[in-house]
Amino acid sequence: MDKETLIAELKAIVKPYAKDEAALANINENTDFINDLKINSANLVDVILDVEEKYNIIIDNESMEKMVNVKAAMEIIESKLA
Amino acid sequence: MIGNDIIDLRTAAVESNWRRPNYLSKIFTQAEQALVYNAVDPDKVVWWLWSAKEAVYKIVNRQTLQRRYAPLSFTYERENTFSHEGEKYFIESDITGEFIHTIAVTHPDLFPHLEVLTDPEIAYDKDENGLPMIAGQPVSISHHGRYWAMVKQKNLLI
Repeated sequence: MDKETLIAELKAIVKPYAKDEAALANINENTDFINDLKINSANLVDVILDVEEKYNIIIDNESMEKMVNVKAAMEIIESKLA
Repeated sequence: MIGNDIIDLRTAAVESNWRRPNYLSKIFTQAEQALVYNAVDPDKVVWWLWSAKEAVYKIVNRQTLQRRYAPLSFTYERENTFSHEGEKYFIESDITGEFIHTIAVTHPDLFPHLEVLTDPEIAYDKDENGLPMIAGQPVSISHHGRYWAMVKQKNLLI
């Protein structure tokens, strides 16, 4: 899967929880889920569960710790699918 | 050190469905999940536990300057005590029908010296890491839904 496709898929996943529309429109590898998209920390669990369901992967605690931005989410998804 | 977290229970009810499969096991230990499922008002216990974990996280984040999303590493010990990586943290919560506000400290002796301010217009500084300060001392800020809270030591001049 190429990066653009993965970012587009992540964008769709975070959309219901993102409170900053402009940051969502400009989502890229450097976007932070909490600081940029203003996703509240309790909804970050939903993002993680949605990612698990979409890609049929398990995000363990070690990976979950890093899931605070798009780049980390992409690395985790790519490594689990590899 | 001080951390605090405020949760607007109406906003939480709209924004989050903690009954979703696998949700609680990502954030709460078995013992914490038992507290929820045995509670008369499980919603309140969920958000009380979460506010405590967040309040303690704010202390740890300030001490380590590291961002880690690891809610399972902040654990309930007993009513007013949580722990993280072997360290104990002490909490006090104000629980109403509308909000839950939890303050965490590294030493319980600090509690009598703290005050809660709720005016979001209060002026404060930021340190080099963007964390809130007043008169050179760290303060803790939290906001959610309709609520905003700053916890600071009483002797600081604003």
